[in-house]
Amino acid sequence: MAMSGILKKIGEPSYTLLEYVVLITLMMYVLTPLLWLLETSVNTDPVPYLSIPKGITIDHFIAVLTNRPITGGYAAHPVYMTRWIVNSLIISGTTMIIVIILAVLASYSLSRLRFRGKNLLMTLILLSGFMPRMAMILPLFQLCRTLGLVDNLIGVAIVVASGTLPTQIWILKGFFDQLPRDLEEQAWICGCDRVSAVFRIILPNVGPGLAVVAFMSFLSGWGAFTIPLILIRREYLFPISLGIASVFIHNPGEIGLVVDYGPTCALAVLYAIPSIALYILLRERLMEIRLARLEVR
Amino acid sequence: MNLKVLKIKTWIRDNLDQIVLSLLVVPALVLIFTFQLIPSAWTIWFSLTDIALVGKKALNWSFVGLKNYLDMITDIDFWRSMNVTIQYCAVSLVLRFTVGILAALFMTLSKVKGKILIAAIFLLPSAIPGIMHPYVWISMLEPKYGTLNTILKFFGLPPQSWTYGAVVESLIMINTWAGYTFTMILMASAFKSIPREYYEVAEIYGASRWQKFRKVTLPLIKFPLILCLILIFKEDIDDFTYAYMFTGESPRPDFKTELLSLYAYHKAFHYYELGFGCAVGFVIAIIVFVLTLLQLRVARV
Amino acid sequence: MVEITLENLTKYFGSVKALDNLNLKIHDKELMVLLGPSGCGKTTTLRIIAGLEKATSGHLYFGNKLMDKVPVRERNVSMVFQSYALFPHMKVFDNIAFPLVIAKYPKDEIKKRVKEIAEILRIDDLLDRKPHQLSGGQQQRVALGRALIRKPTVLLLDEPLANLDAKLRVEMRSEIKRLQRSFESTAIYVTHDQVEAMSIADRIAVLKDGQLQQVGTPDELYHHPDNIFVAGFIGTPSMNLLDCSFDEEKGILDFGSFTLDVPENIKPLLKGYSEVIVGIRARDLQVSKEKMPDSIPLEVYTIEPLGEETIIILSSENVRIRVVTHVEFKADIGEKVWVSFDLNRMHIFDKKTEKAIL
Repeated sequence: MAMSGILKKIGEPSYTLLEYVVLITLMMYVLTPLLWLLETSVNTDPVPYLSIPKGITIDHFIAVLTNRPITGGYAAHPVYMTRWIVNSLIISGTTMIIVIILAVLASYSLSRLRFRGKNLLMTLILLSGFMPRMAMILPLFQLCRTLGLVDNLIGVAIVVASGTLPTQIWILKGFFDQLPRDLEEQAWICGCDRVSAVFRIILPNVGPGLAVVAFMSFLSGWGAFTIPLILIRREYLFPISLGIASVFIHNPGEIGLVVDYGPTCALAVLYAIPSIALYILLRERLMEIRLARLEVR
Repeated sequence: MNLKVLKIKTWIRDNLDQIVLSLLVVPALVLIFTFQLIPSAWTIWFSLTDIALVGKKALNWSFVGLKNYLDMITDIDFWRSMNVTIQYCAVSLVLRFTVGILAALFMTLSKVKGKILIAAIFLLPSAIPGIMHPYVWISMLEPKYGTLNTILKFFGLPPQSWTYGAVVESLIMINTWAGYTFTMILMASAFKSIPREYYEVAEIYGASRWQKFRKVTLPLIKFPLILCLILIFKEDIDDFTYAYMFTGESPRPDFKTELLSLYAYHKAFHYYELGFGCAVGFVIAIIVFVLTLLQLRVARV
Repeated sequence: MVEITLENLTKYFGSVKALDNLNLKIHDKELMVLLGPSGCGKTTTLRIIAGLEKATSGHLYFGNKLMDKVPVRERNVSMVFQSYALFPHMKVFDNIAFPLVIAKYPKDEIKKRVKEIAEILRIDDLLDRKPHQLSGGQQQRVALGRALIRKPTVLLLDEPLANLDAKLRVEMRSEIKRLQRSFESTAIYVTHDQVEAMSIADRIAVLKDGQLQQVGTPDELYHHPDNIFVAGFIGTPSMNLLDCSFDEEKGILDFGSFTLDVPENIKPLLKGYSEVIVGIRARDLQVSKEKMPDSIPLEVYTIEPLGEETIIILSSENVRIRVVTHVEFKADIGEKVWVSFDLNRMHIFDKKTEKAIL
């Protein structure tokens, strides 16, 4: 309590000064590593370390977005980064759609049904992700090959979706639980059948929940690395994560490679945009996550 | 016979509502079962064999029961790996949490301006591709040309060798920098969900900012806080990517980066002991499993 | 506009019996109140009529039509919940219009009807607002509007006034009654407030522990309660209920601390009963400072002046008796006054909750 005593003497305004100092420090910690990334993406003559750019250009960004062939690194031939972006979008988008549909169906039912094993089922769902994906490489590959999902962007989306589904169901169920049954019952009394009640009354009121689930599932797909690594052989189908890895990593453990850093860093910057944009748009909604609790009997 | 059929039909017609509802859960369950549970079970099965990817054992493998597990416990490398992993997880936990919670504070409770910009900046590390993380840090720490040393040189100070060679520390640094956003998002949402009224009451009683923080904020975030710690640990135990990029296909002689998952990978693919690798993988899984149960206990509170 | 029949309705929630063999007929166009303490089964009954719950056994009829298996949305009932259940994401206009939108009425028809109802309920200036921007009373009227817009055959109300302040409650009571009359709906109204029930009901059904205690007009329930529970529940202040034993030989009722002579016309009706409970309303007793014929001396326990009238509580040994008297009567605590019973207004109940006379 001596602390508050001292502070009372200094006066509260210094708090804010302290805050700004800490904030700046934190920002520096966060941003300094990124300086190189940002600088290189606009540098006419990019190098693998921080330097004052001899000239500023957006050419790297254009190269990435217009499917210009990019050479360098350990890629055996020029790579087309635009293709990577498209692939990543396909995977993320598909993952998001699959998750939203299945999660809404499952969460709504689990929220409204009453049966004795409910807690058990919810627990099992959450525990289903216990095996590290690295350990499952071979079985997963075999399974997907049997199902024809290898070298297939949709296949990747399906597997990624299955991985993130448990968490999303938990989150979404929390939102459904919070809606009073009154609303649905009133809708039925007014003449709705169950389906239209869900669409007209329930879904509009779990908006924040849907936004969160969409956001998180999209990002799961966007950042997927291990699963595509297992399932995709053809370069043509590489998502961004695999693509960058293919030009950077030939022998892991070696640093300081010759690679066309400019476009690569530009791609990294572009890569960051969906995450940031989605987060800013959904900021308010995200704050409302109320982690689902188990039902108390 | 006909009476029974009639009874079933009536039961279906009466309970149609509930039946349809139950069916809605099925697609999600099918997906999870197929792509998570079946491979997991398969892996556990592998861990009980001495199967290998190539070579003699690829075809002539046999069921060996718990032999892999016994070998694991007696393998000194396993324990060295465990040692590294625990160090990694412990330090990483503290750092990821601290930085994350500071960031969360700035995003919600502090009095600084421009929160949206701050939020966007804080998010950046996890927004860029994971592959880039090590490279971004290497460019920072490189003794000759790295950013940090460049700044030092700029100020006329001698260049340091930082932690460029000491590997686990580098891994921890990268993981912290990339991983604090997880804490940040969770805790920010926790901070935001504290109803304003509590602060107003404290205000009426003349509480200072610090007191408000201690008496109102801290007690109310206990639950998300514990949950957060468990989830961070759960993530870190699994960590693979950065370690892999630093180490490659075979373990470093000094074993300094051999996280458990990497150890499992090497055993499976480099030493061709797939069964063994799966066993290690399963051990990691058990740890995650226990942590998840712990997490659920907290949720029931 | 229909007669509702509840036949042998029983409902279990797990092992808890919420309704016990309930039989009730609700007349066409009447406002029936289901009255009783919390947990007596009145809301359960309402929900079964609406179709939100299924009875464990028994039947429900609208007129001659068996409604047991008819789904909620086909029953043409409207219900006002205690929480109002207004749709938070819709404006007031859309909330009220909702039933018509579902029934696919043409747009201009909907607009016309919503405006009509809104005017009647005096919320026509709120049509563009959202529920969270309204006060409790306004929300309640929106809920009513939504219920009435379809001119329902059956109108169900579950403690609609419970969340309002006292003054508003009294106001809205009569509003609801007026509306029900003008729309000619058969209405069932659930409440635990007996004053509310008495003021608006055509008939009241009193429930306790899932069982029907008595059904009748407010008058009937007040003047001719069938059992002790109803007698004690209806009326403010509540009826005085006194233990006593009937001595057939001597023809008196022995209250322990005093006795009363039983009038001749009543004696034969009490034949065979020994342990009884005598009920007498506070307004059927007289107090005076002087001894009157057939009066009992009792001590004043406390006095509650209420402005228009005064309630005096008298005691003697084991009994407490409430008497309503006019304001001019003044007495001190501990003072001895004389109370006379109007024996023709007595209610006598067998100790086993059965009534004997009047």
